[in-house]
Amino acid sequence: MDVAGNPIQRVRNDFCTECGSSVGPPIGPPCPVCGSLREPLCSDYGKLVGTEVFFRRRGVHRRGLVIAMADQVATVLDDGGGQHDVPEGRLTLGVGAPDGDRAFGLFTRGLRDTAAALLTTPGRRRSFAQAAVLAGAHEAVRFAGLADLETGWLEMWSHWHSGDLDGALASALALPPDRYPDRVDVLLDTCERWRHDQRRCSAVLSAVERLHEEPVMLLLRFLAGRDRDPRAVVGAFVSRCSAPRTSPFWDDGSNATAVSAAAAVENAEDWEWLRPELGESAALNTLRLLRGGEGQPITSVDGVDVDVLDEAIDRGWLAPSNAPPPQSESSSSTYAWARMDPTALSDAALRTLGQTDELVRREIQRGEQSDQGSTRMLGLLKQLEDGDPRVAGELIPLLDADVRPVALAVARSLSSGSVDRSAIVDRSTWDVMGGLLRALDPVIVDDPLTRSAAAHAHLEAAKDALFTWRWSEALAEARACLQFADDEPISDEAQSICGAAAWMQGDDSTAARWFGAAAAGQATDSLLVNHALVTIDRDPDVAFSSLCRLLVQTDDQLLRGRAACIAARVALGTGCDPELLDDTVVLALRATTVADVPLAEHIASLSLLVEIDPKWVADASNMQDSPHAASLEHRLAVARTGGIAPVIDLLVESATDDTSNELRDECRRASEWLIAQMVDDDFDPCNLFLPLLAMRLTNSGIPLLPRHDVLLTMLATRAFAVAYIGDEEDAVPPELLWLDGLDRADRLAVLASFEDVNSVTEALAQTREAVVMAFCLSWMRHTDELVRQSEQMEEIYRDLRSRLSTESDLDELHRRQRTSGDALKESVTSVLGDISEVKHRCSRVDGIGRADDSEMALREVLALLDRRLHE
Amino acid sequence: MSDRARTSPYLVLGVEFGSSVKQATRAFAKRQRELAALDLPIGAEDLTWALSQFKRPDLRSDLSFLRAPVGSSGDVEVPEGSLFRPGPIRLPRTTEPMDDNRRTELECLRLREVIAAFFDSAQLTHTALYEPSSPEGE
Repeated sequence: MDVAGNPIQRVRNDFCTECGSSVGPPIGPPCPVCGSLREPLCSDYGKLVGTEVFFRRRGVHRRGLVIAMADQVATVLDDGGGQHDVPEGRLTLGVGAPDGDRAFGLFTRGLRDTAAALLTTPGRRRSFAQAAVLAGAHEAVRFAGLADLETGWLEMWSHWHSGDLDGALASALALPPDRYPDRVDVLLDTCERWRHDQRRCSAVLSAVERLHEEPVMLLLRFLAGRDRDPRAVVGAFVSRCSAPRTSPFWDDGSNATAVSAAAAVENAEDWEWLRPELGESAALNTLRLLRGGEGQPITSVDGVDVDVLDEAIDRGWLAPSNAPPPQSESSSSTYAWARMDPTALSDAALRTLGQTDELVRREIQRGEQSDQGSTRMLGLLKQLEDGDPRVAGELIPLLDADVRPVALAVARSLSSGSVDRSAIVDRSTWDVMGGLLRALDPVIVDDPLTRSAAAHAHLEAAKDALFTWRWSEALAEARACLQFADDEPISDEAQSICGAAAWMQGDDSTAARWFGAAAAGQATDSLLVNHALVTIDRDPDVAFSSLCRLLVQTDDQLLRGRAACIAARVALGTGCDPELLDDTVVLALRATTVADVPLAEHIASLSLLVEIDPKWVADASNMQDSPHAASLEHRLAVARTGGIAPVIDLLVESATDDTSNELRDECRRASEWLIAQMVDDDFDPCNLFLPLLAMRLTNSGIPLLPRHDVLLTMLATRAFAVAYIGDEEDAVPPELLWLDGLDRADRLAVLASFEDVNSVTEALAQTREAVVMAFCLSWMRHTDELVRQSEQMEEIYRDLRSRLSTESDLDELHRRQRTSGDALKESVTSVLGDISEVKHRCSRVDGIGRADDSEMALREVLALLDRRLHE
Repeated sequence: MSDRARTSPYLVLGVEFGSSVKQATRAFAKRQRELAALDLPIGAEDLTWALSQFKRPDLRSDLSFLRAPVGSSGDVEVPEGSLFRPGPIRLPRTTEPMDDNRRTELECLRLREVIAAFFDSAQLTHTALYEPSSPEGE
């Protein structure tokens, strides 16, 4: 080991002393790499050179130093200065192995001159000098008698081997810039060992800069703290620094990595094979931050030292504009963003850092209860906001620099009782300064900012009074606001408050005037709503006008629909012809019926449109895109445009076991309408259209109100019976269903809560009489017809019997006669059945006895048929 | 409470038009406490009625209630960062300012890591690249 503790490496002897390249077995100059004509090192390197040896000469044991070797014969210099040539086999080695220490300590001044005379060939001189290098014997190197440059180069290595970095550095720097490139190793190693010594590194840098060797300079500059992208530096160093390829004193591979990397990289076309994660490393990101964030963007702050983050943030090198996005799983990222811009972090992330101030600030902003006392700055700020100027002294140093003057001005104002203009430049102070601002005289104050602030203060006071039901005070403050207000929005708001206060005091006309004044120019939706609300009873035209303005300007479709309905009802209520209704209202109603609004609003608009614009409603294409087009309510409303019949058709069609309330309500309305029509004096009893609808409704299965069921059934049945009795064109023959309906009506009459049940019962009885009369008339007609058919049949068959002679013909005739007779019998039996049924159900009805004649006639027909058929 | 007062749940609760259910609920609680102090002619059932109105999703589109404020004043725009509306409060620095020695130390340490990572990533070793036939091999 040398004095520096490094292992002594075997010295190689097959290298060019000019460029350091290995040339294999020495073949003589020139060097195949650099072309140097210098003599290569002697291949026959004597490994004993510089070794202390013992030998015997003329019977005397002597001690000496091997200073040269040739042909296995050592030239030994004894400590008396004598020179001896001793065969290698006759030498005894001294302290240390051949590859170990070299005992140059024996070299005295006197011996130096002698040794120099003995090193007669360049090979011997170099061999000796290298041995001296490995021993760290700097002076011995010098006295090998080599050229100055080579000596200097060898001295450099000698110093290095002995651990004398200063000496090695001095020797390295003394070499010419274009020679001996392996001195880079020495320079690098020097900086490596001096990395904590800023002064020495700087000194090396300054010296190296004179060498103009870019890779070394770059690397050393980086080590010394200059700006450079580390990847480029390392890359340049590896690719361009040829010195580490070989070195005469490194053959254990300790620098082989750099050598190999240099070789490999020089052969690579580009850098793609280098793993990209080199760019993601925390170390590289740290270096980039220390360099001011230059070069490639910072990809992550994970793993970066906290003080580096702090430094980079405070100097502006790391900012929200160039920082990687926050990552919840990285504490470094959370810390960095909490320092730069906490709004990028969630409450949970802030809690991990214990960032109470920001959490409390957020709670205040959200209007939540917060413990402002938990943070010093916010707590003091709250006290100032509450009107205590004494906290300013403690508060101001805690504030950001840009708001400190404002805080000072606020404290000054509160203390002096007069408004400092620089306090109200910040609008957040207007509420705090409210009391002072409200004390200002509007006549004197002409500064626009102060006037705005004063108007705001009065307005806030007016609102506060309004919401605490102090109407007179609200009115007074709002009026005071108007004295300062220079723009319409503030004036409108103040006037609106005046109107609201007057309204709540019951002064409608004053309220209407205030709202009217406010709504005169620009007006918000709410202002127009208020104006319409307070004027709708006393001045509908004015309300209508405000509602129309609202229809045009509002974005709220639901509000528009409702306003349109109110406007339409107001107009119709004042006698406006529906066809002449303002287009604005009609269009708004139409728009509401196709908009996505609740069903109730949809039907409200649609119901009005049925009245106002039935043609548009009847056209199915207009509302086909409405979300409520398939609903029963929508279809019923549309059906109304076609009259009662489509409505009833729809009702009957929609009736189910689980009939909805809407359906029942519609049935009720239809029933009431039908009843009203059929009891009207102008009702034509011969027109069976309405009775048919009524009967359809009562038979639909929809549960009607008992009252309606009774009346509809009675009126419809009576109409049918009267029409049949009167032999009207559209009359239908009586059916047992009529009696079914009347029986049902009789049962319901008791439940229907009629005021005069007896009258209803009597009316039902009269209806039943009419029905019986209709039946009797119907049977009479049937009986006449059946008798005629019977006689006709008798005559036909008699005539046929007289004409036929053959037995087969007669049999056929009898068969046909039987068939016809059976059919006729069936008809007769059916009528007799009806007669029997009706006589049974209406036995107490006057006129039922008229059925007896028909019954008797039909029985005779039946008997005759039986006789004929049996003959 | 008079019918007139019934024209505005906002006035009953003392809360602005456009307020949320949450705000209305807070106002409800506050009003309950204030009833006696302010001597208002409204009772608990009036407050309950008013609060129930705020739970309707279509309250903002109701034209039957007096509104206050009407939104004309455009509410004074108070930007964040104002005195009484402080902006985001950044976390203060937790480390001492960095001196040159510390900086140099870090740079050298991290550079060493970078260089080591560079060589590691290249996966180059002496034995890997040096082949027996190579003239530079041992």
